[in-house]
Parts: sequence; C-alpha cells; structure tokens
Amino acid sequence: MRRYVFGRLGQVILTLLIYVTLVYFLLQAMPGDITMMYLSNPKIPQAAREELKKQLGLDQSLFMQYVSYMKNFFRGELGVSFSQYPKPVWDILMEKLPRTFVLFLTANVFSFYVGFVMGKVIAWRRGKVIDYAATVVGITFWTAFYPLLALVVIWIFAYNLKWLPLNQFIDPRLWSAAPFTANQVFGNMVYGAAIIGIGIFFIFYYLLRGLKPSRRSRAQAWALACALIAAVLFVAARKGMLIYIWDITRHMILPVFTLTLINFAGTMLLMRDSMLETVQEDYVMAARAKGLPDKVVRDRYAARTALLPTVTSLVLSLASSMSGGMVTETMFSWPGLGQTLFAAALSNDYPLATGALAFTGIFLLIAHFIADILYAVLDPRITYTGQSGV
Amino acid sequence: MNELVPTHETGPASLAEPIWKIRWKLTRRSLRQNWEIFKESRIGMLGIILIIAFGIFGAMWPIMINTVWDPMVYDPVVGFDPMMMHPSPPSGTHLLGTDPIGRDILAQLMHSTGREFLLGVLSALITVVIGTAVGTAAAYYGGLIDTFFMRIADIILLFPFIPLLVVVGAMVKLSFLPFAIIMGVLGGFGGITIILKAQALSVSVRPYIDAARVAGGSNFHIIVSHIIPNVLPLSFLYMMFSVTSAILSEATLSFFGVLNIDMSWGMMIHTADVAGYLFDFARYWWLWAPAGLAITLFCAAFYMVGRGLDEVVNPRLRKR
Amino acid sequence: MKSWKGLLATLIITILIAAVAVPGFAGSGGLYEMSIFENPTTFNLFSATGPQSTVWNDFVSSSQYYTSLYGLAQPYLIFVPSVAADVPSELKQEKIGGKTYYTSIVKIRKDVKWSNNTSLTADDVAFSYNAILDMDPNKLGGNWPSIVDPEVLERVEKIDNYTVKFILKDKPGLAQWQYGVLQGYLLNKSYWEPVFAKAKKAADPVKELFAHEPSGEPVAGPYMHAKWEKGAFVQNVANPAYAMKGEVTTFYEDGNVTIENPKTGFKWQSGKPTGKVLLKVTEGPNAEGTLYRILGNQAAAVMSLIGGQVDFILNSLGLQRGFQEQLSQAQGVTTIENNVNGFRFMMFNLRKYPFNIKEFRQAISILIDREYICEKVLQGIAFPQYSVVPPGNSFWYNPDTPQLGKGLTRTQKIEEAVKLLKKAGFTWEVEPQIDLEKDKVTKRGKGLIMPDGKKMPSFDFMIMTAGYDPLRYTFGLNIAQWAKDVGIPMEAAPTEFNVISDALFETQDFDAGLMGWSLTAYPDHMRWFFHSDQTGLGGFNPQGYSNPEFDKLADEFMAESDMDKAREQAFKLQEMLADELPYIVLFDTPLIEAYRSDRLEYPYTQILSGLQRYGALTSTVKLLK
Repeated sequence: MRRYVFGRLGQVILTLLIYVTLVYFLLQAMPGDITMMYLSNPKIPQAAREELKKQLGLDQSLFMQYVSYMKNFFRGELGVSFSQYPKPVWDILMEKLPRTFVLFLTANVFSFYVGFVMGKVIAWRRGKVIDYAATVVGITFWTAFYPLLALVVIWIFAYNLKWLPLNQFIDPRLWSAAPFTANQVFGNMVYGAAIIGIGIFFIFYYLLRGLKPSRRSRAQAWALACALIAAVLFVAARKGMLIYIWDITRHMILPVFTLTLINFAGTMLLMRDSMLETVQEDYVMAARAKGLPDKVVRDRYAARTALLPTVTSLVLSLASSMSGGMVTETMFSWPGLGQTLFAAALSNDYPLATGALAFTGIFLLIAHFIADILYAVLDPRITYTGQSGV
Repeated sequence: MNELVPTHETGPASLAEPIWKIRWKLTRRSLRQNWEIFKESRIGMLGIILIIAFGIFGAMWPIMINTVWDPMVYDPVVGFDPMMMHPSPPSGTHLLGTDPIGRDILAQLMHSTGREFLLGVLSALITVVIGTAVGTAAAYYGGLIDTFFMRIADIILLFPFIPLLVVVGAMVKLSFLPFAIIMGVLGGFGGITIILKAQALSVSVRPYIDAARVAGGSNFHIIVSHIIPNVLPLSFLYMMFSVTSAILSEATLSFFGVLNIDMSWGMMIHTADVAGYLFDFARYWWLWAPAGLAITLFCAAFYMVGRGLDEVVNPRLRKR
Repeated sequence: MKSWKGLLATLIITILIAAVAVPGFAGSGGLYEMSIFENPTTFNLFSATGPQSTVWNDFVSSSQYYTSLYGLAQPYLIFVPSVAADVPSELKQEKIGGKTYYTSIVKIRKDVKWSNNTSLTADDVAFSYNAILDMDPNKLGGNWPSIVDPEVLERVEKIDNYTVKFILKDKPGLAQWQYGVLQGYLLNKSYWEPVFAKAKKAADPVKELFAHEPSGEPVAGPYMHAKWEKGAFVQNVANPAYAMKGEVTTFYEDGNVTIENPKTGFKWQSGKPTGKVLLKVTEGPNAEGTLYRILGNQAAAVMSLIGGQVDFILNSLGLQRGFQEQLSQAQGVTTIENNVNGFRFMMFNLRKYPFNIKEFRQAISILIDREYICEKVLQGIAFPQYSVVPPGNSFWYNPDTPQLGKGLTRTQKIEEAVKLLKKAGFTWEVEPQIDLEKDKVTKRGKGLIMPDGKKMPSFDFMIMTAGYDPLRYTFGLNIAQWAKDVGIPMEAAPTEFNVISDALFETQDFDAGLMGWSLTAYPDHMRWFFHSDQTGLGGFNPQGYSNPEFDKLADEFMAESDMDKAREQAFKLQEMLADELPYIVLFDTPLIEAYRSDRLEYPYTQILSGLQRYGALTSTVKLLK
C-alpha cells in the first residue's frame, strides 16, 4: 500500500512539472504581450515601454524566464502579476479562492445529492415513465446552453419575480458598514458548514445504525442535529456575522440552483447505470429473496455499492470546478478564480493566467490522487500492485 | 462487448465463399443484431429521430439559398433586408425574424446546422480515431508505449478544457477548422484513451488473440482485424459524447467572443448579446430561442444516441 | 436516509422562504450608485497611472480623489485654473547655472485644503512634480511620462508659500504645457514624502512605491476613499474639506468663463465675458458618497439600473442599441447620446506598390458608401466620418475638410473611382461597366493591371472578427465587396486583434487593415500618426506615410503655444490628410448612456465622450431623493 501511494505521488509530481511547463510555453507562444496596452497611447515613449519590459523580466531570454519561473514555482511563488504589478499572483489567487470554493462546493454537493437520489429512483423504476421523463429532462438540461440558461434564470427569478438578488455575491448597501471582509465571512462559513456536516454525520451514524432504527433514536438524532445547527448559528450571531452569512447565502441560491439544473443529470445517469449493474449482483438478489422491503434493498444494499464510481466522479468534478466556473462567475458577477483567469487572458497577464491554470492543475492532481486511493481502498477488486491508470 | 461476433478467420481454405464475403456477412449480422438491441432503447431512438430531423433541416440550406432565397437578403453573414427595421419579429418574409444587423434568423440557423454537423462529427472522428489507435496500441504493446500515452492522457485530463480554450482563444482567435482539430486531438489523447485501452486490454487477453499470434499473424494484423473491431462499438459510443462536447464548447467560446467563426448557433446568441438584446427574453425571443434550442436539442440528440448505444455495448444495462 | 432527506428538505425550504420573504436592503438616499464591469486593481495613484492605468481605476479613484493646478472646464472643455489662482505667467527665457531655461510662475489659491484640513501649499505642488522627476517618469511608466514629461520639465521651485516656478528645458507646445504638465496630479507632501524616502532605499524603488497601499492619504478632490470590498464594490465618501464646494462656473457665449466661490470669495475670469450666459455649473459634491458596484456583465447592469440598484452605468464603450431601446421604455430611466472622440479607419501599407499611389487610395475612399452602411445596414448605430479630427471636437475640427465621394450613388462612385484609377495609369482586363440611369453594375471589373504593367495580385484586408467588433467586421466585408466590383482584388480577412497589432507594430508586414483609435481633446495625434519619424518598428505610423511637407507643418503645430494659431495649423493638417489619405477615416459610434432621472439631476448631459468620460459627474450631480 505504502509503495503504491508513494509511487503514485512521484508520478503526480512529475505530471505537475510537465503540466506547468506545457501551460507556461503554451501561453508564451501566444501573440501579444503586456506592453501592447501601451500601444494605444503615442505619448508613452519607447523608453517607458522598455522600462516596463525590464521590470517584468521580459528582456531576458525565454528559457531564462522559464527557469526562474520554475524555481519560484516550487518555492510556492507564482511570480508577479503583470496587470496588477507588483502584486504577487499567489495573493490574487488566495483572495479569490474562498469565493469559488464556497460556491462550487455547495453547488457540487447539491447537484450530486439531487442526481444521486434521482438516479437511485429511476434505476429502480427502469422502463417506467419516470425513467424516460427524468432521463430526457436531465439530458436536456445537461446539454443546455449554459450562459443562456443562466441569463434566463436570473431574468425570471431576480428581475421579474424579484425573489432573489440580481447578480453579485453580497449586497453593497449592507456591507458598506460591515466590520468584516467578505473573505472572513466565507472562511467562517466553511468552518461552520464543516462542523455541522461532520457533527450531523456522526449523530446519524451512531443513532441510526441498523436496518430499522427506533422511533425514539430517530427523534433524538433530529433533536441533536437541530441543536447543533442552532449552536453554530448562535455563535455566528454572537460574532455579529449572522446577517452577513445570510446575505451571502441569499446571493448563492440562484447560481447553485442553475448549476444544479445543469449538472444533476451527470450524476443521475451515472448512478442509474451503476445501480443497474449492482442490482444484478448476488447479494442484492439475496436480500430481495430474503423478503426485505424494496426500499431497504434499494437504499442499503444496492445504492451503497453503486455509490463508488459516483463519489469518484464527485471528487473529480469538485476539483475541475475550481476553475471551470468561468461562465457561472461571469453570468452571476461572482468574482472568483474563473473570472480572474479570463480577465488575465484578455489582458495578456501571463503570470496570472499561468498561475491560475497551474493552481487548478494542482487541485485536479490532488483529486485524481485521492480518487485513485479511494478506489484502491474501497474496491477490493483493484489491487495496489496492478497496473495504474487503468 | 460480447455481442460482436469475433471476425477472425480460421476456416479451412476449402470454403466455397471468399473470406471477405463471410466477413461482410458476419459484420452485417452483428450490425443487425445491434440495431435490434438499439431499437429497444426509446431514448436512443428519440436521439436518432432528432438527428435525422436536423439533417433534413441542414440539407435544406443549399436548396433554399439557390432557389427561394435571394442571397443579397438571406446570406447568413452579409445578407441584409433593407425593407424593414431590425431586429424584426417573425413575419412572412422572415419566418423567424431578423437579427440586430438585418440578417435572416432562419437562414442563419439552417446554414449553421451543416457546419455544426461538420464540426461535431469531424472533431469526434478525430477523437475516436486517435483514441482507438492509441488505446489499442497501448493495450497491445504495453510497457513504454503504454506508460507514455497514459501519462499524456493524465496531463490532458488535467487541463481545464473550457478555461484553457478561452484563454487560448482570447489570445489567438481560433477559426472553424483549427478549433475542430484541437478539440478532436485533445479529446483523442485524453480520457477516451484510458477507457478504450481498458477495453482493448480485456480483448487482447482472450484466447483467440493468442491463437492468431501462434498462427503467425503480424502485430499490425492482429490489432486491426481482431482487437479494433471489438473496441469499435465503445469508440462509437464515445464519439456521440464527443460530438456533444465539441458543439457545447464551440457555443460557449463563441458566446464569449473568442472564436473566429463567422456564423454558428453560438455566434447567433453572441450577436444578440453584444447588441444588447439578450436581456428582455420575452420580447426578443426569436433572437435567442431558436439558436439556444438548436444547440440544446442537437447536443441532447447525440447524447441520447450515446445512451442508446450504451445499452448495446453494456449488456447489464439492458432490460431484464 | 429518510431523516437526512427530511432535514435537508426542511433546511432548503426554510432558506428559500426566508430568501424570498425578506426583501433586499433598502438603498440609502445619499449615495450616488454606479456600476462598473471590472475590478479596480489598486488605489495607489502611482500604479493606477502607471502600469495599471485602466479606465476602472480612473473612474473610482484617480478622477475622484485628486486635483491639479489647471483643468478643462466641463462640458465645454475650456482650459481653466483649478488649484492655481490664475493662468501661468508667460514663458520667459532665463539663465540658471550657465544653462538657458524657460520659466513660468504659477500662483496658487490660498483657500484649498487637504481632507485633513491642512492647507495645500507650494510645498505640495513642488513635491508633486519633483518627487516624480526623481523617480524617473519613464520607469513609472503608463501615463506618467506624458504628465510629468522629463524631456520638458527640469524642476519646480517654491517661491513662497503660494507661488511656484516651473523651470523648463525647452519651449513646450500646447500638448506638453497646458494639456500636459500643468494638469498633473497634486499630492500631499507630508503623506507621500516618507513613502518615497522608504521606496528610494529599496532595491527596486519603483516596485516598492507601486506596492504601497495608501491608507488615510489626505486628498484635495471631491471624494475620498472609504471602503473596498474586492470583487464587490468600492465606496467613496465626500471630502468634508473640499475647497471647491459651492463654486460656480459660468460659461458665456463668447467662450469666456468665470469662476466664483461664494464661501471663500475666490474669483477668476477669462478675458472679458460678454453676451448670453450659456450655462452655470455649481460644484458639489451633493452626495454623501459614491458607491461602485462591480457587475460582471452588461445585462446585469441594465437590470440593476431598471431595478433601481444603480443610478448610472459606467462603461467606456457605452450601452448597446438593444439596451437603449429597452431602457427608453423603462420608468424613471433616461437615455442620452453623445459624440465620442475617436474614429475607425482603414489604412494601407504605403511602403508597398500600388498602395503608395494617392489616386488608388482616393478611389477606395470614394467607393466606400459610409452613409449607406451607417444608416441602412447598421441603422444609425454608427455615423460616417471623414476627417481625422471628429466633428464633436468642435474647437479643433475643420468643417471644410474635403469629403470624397459623399452623396454619390453607387454607380457614380464607381465612375469616379474608375476615372481616378485610369488617371493614375491603371487598366483592366475586363473594365467594369455601369448603368448610371438604373444605378446598376452591368459588368464587374476583372484583372486590374497596375501602372507598371503587372496584374495586381490579390491582397488581404485585415478586419476585426465578428466577435470582437461586429461593426468593423460589417464595414470591412462591404468595403471588400465594393472594391471587387471595380476589379480591385481585395480579400477581407477577419483577424484577431493581437495578430493585427503584431502585424502593424511588431513586423509592419501587412497590406491593409481596419483599425480604430480613441483620442484626447488636444489633436496632437495628427503628429504621432503621420509624422515620418514614427515609421520605424513600434512607431505610430506603421502605414509608413512620409511627407516632408507634412512633417514640417506638424512640427510647427506641436511647437505652437498660441491656441488660435495652433487651431489654424490643425485645420491645414486636416485638409492635407483628407487629400493624401494615409488613413481612410470611416465612421464612429455615438456613446449611449442611461441614468435614473427620478434619482439624479445633472447640470448638463451633452459632453464629448459622454458623462462617463469624467467619472459621471460625481461632483456636480444632484440627488433628488
């Protein structure tokens, strides 16, 4: 096991190195550079342009630039942004990360959950109307033209019905007197959600074990869960943060809803297929033969095993959404990594664009790594010594 | 997979019919069998019907522009109707209205259909050809070749596709053909290789491959006539999904204005957006709904066919 | 599983109900709210004017916090004193330390205060220039070298507390003096001196200076910084010590201006104002503060404007026509249109044959039916333009500039163009034939033969992609079509922006292209774009236009420090360019803007380049509720 993990780790680092190199040279090969923006003003003398090149290190040979970039990269420095000179790329990315993280984590969890439940249900009722209906509707949303769908959703719910705020992630009118920065609140939201999530998991795990939990233990679990949520909210209220958390939550509803609409079908169909494969396994048949209620067989026997490939896909999609949110972030004015990457590309800010892409690469690599290990640990059919990558 | 009858020939030379005829018959039979299975899938059939409908719609374009429509008015790119204010709502002369610079929406939609087919199928074809070749080669030869291509696939999987294409597109606006090729190549060396390799691996350990090898078949011959035919159905399945992703990527990139394509469904929506009409959705519906629906339905159609094929390829998904 | 679901469902439903039930937070009446599309990147004036000189930084900070000695009185853009008490004294030759310099004395108002209530004195003014000179404006980059021009400015000396002396290396033209140095930003010495001192000690002083994040910087402009929530909004508050508050600027019909401050008693006037009063503008700020929301796309901004979350949309490109149509029907919203200072044009590489033949370019210019495209195809979202100075820049625009081919029908245009081409020695394998009566081309030209007897090879005409600029794209396609009608083998090639600008400025390897410029009020662009000393790689004359007669006239224009004489010369330059056609000027678009007229009252809405050019009149707008 350890050998497998370390071997994989080595590969991961090598892959990262090659990936960053590729991204670096790919972006360098693009026409245009940052000094182009000076081209629009004839009053800026050539001398100033040369000075800028010197400041940004563009007067050195490409290879030397690359070497110094890689050296810094492995020291955890991603260089200095061109368009926000001399702000370090790392700082810019760290400033955006919490926003992207909170939004896409929530959206992924939601669409995963919706997809999981629906997949389970339609697999069980395969060939029925609900199977076809859910599949067609799911595929239609899955292939919907996302920017358009986002605009339509905003137009309906925020503009016409006025149920939810238009765009942005906070309301400036509320926040102009806020004692916190948005990132502090985001950070606290992550802590809070983590505490609630882990807490509830354990409460339900311990109190509702077994196939038929008693009514009493169910009530206990509920009470405890509510108490935990209340406690966390109370702490937030004491800190005076509750209203700001509330404001962010309000602004998150529309993007999360839209993302769920678009994405749930992926999980749903995967879950459906995976279920269909597991229901034919002997132990599921056995459980049925034993006369257990359909629901119990579905939820506790089939779904648990079928979850495996779905969870792996969740891990991967979480990682890729760390950068894939360009459309969401633009349409909902949610200033995260995707928007930063796009803006960097438009302004020829190579260090920032390279940094953002490398950053996503690291996320994805870690996710792949975790997914591999998860698979190896959870699925007894895969052995550590077996061929990797298959 | 097991549905495909292995098409290796070991028959005695005394057979009355030539080998190719037998092979052809076998292929035909397996195709028919697969079609029977595919027909069972309503989702898949729905997809096929949609694709045919789009095909007919797209095929009408050359007919319309050469007979009924005056190119000066109905050209999808430089056409212009001087008789009315634009964007004009649907009317007798323009069944789906005109866009903000006076071009006929229906003509644009029809003209683009053929090009979307071309884009989707071309890039998917490239993906599948590369994926199949690389996947089978990696499975058959193993060792260094395997490691090399699998690492490439790993790296390509790392690339956040859309953002990367947007970044590249923002700097060099890609035109139609390069875009299709890039999509195809990236897809071909990426995830699909891994899946097809796994499939090829399961084929290459079957006894008849060893038999063929013992009988003196060259590596190339074995790959081409024994392994690839067994991988193809799966390749075909992924081709459907590749079409979907190519079209959606094109539309998204066009929407952000980072492609150098004169007309496509994505460009139609982009045109409405930059002219400021993508805002009151009820009032200017003809500027976004036809193109938006076309993108969705077209992609959904291919996806559905893919789902249908899945049931052919994967017997466990079939009805009990 | 079930309880999980129940809990989750309850939670979601509670959140949804609460979200819908609780309305947004009410607006505060005293804030002037605007939307911007991109994040400001810095509040450090040095980087905001240097490498990070984006329009967004200018909107929220540079244009709001700082004052200068002189400025352009809006909306007529007349040169007036701001912190200075009067116009600068005449330039005088003076020997200092054995070298000859030009000097000028500027008196400073005594009533101007920083936001921390200290007086703005000659020390601050001298520091504002000298500190930047010491840093080297070229190293600061961006707009610094054109503001504090090291080729002109030697030093600024303090004479007494409210008088400074400018020492200049050379006699400056209008562009360098009135429109350059004298409009430089004024900085608070006591705040910035230690910052500069610290920067000087660092290994890279410029980088150190750029990295400084101002906090509590005293400013003298109408607003000062209050809060910046990155990615969401910027808030400024009114500067309580702003000296110009309540000041009345009066514009007279004869072009003269008076400035009066009833509070401090400051008075200034240009010439002897007579005749009708055109406009009286009272300086504010009247709002308690300004709020800039960062919205990611135009649709969001327009919806917010209709919904009342913002009062004005800041966007240097203006609003699109579709939005204008829909906004003009919205209640409480008013849309306005203004001319912009710029133009889109086509150019040929004049180093190449036969593009260097004047008649060839004139023929192309005649063939282009600007009016048809603007009015018919683009339906008035663009307007035709012929001169390199836009008519909106009324002081500098020469109304007598020739307009080749204007008003001709399609076939008349072809006839004229063919005549010109023949005159230059062009012939055809198949000459174009036209029917003037029916206004129809009966035979398209083919096989154009150049005066040197060779057949003209086909060439690429680089135009913008439809995604980047649909207007230039449409224009380009039509131009190529018209050119082909007379047998000129021009192929429109949609090319992306970076490739075009590489071809123009890095390699100069191109045949023809369609580009655009936006300009400043003072028309010195005529010198930069067409002077032969700009023809090198990276110069601003990539088309390679070279005409000694023009060079001489342009140099005279630049050196002229008298407004009226400079104007005459500018007129002559325009006529010359309209005949020689190193640029074939095509069109520009009006700037469309919208604001909440039930919330705001502007003293005027007609101004070149629109309200947003000057930050949406934050200091003169009145809030109605």
